[in-house]
Amino acid sequence: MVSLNETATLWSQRLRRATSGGLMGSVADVDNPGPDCCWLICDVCCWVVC
Amino acid sequence: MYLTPRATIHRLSPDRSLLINSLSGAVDIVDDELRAKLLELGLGRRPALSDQETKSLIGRSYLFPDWGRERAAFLEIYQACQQVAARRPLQFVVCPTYTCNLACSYCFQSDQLRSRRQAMTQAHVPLLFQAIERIAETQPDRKRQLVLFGGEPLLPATETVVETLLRRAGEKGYAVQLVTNGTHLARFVSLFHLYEGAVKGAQITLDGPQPVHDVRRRWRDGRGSFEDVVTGIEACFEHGIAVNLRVNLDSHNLPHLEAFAALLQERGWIGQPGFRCQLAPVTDHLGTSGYPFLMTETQLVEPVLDLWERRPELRRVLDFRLFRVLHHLTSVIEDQGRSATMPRFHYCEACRGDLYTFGPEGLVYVCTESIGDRGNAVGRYAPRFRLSRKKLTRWHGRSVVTLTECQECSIATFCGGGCAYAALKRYGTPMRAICDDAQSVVQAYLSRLRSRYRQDARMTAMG
Repeated sequence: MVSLNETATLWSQRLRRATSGGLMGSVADVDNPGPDCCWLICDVCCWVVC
Repeated sequence: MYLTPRATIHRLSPDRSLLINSLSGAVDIVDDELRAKLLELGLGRRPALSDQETKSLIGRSYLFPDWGRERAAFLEIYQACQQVAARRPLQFVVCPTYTCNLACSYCFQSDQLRSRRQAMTQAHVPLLFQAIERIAETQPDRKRQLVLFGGEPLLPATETVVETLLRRAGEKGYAVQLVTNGTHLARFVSLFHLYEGAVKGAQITLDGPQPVHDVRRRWRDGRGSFEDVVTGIEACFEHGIAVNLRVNLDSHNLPHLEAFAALLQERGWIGQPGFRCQLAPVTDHLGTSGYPFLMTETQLVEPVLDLWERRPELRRVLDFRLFRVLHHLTSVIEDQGRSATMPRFHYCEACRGDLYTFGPEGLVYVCTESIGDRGNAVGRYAPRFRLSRKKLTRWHGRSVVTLTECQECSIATFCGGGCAYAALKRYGTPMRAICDDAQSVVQAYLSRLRSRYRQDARMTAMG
């Protein structure tokens, strides 16, 4: 079995880091967006939160 | 052991298969021996797995001791997503009017709605801000964001009320985003300057090079709007307002994407602070538009992937995250999970409880596509504030965790259960899934991946 993505990047792992405050930058701070916040986009109406 | 129903297996070559897990986001390649064991597990049998196989499959969340643990893992990820999402600003979408000065060939809003002459008055503004505070009072720590939407929010007729909205938003410390066709932006930019700091960015639609855009996005008298929009975009850059360019994509403007990317380069927009350009497939959730150039996401897979193979640098210029399913797949499979894509438990923010829309008639909606559809309003803010908890619960309770059809679906967290408003119109309730073409997007992408894999294998063999 060859993994195409690292186990550390799996959703459960990433969310664990997010909920324990381990994400880089301010996740949802519109004034100070961090590198991990780009998935916080309102996708249907397409305006960018950060 | 229990194999999650969120796993699917797809043949890549005669002896290799791709394993995709929509519970954990894992993607793996397995040989035929393990493939056969996984198929047996799927049938509830107990094949002999080696210790290493068992360890890998558990570590990647394919295998669980039983159904209950698998369900608990699914719910744990959902709860974590909810927890992270709660850090986002609450969004209050304000439609100063439903009127629009353009007559775009594919608009999802009915002509009847766009022709309504109703506009918000000064008297609506304090009531609207009171309603925002009432709605947000249970979540005092969350930031509030105002989004000006329409119709077209930036019209000469709305200038006074827009100025009042900006002033009040500035006083309250709310960030403001604009969703505009850009035709009157240049006129409004000086106004934004007065309330500097409040307006964070503008989503402006430009559908291609001038001859293409002008056919699609015309003023009501038939003139093209390209020149006006470009003037507005460049006025934003001059005043430091971030521009999120939106390209509504279908078979009419698809052949002109490369020319459009060249235009962005020539005008020096790429690299402007905060600039991004998003491709958005034109959708018709209710199936009522009769627009002849619509393409499903499945139909867009092939030409878009062709373009990226031919011009890989355009992938950085033309953001395609609004291709909901394809973006998930490519970001997981091709970016080795480095991209920030996460599972989609809700199709859109209408069901997440993060967004409320205020119409000029005094009504409150949760879905921006349902504005003007009075029967589907969830309350009102003028003349008096009132929300229907019963109606809100129908929307906010909808996710792949609660939709019956999504319980065993192998791609539910790639698609989010589909459009709630479409479900409401089609079935009379948002609590039904709208599967649309999510499965066929997966198949179209995998078919492409399969041929690429075979090609790579041939190249390797040729050495």
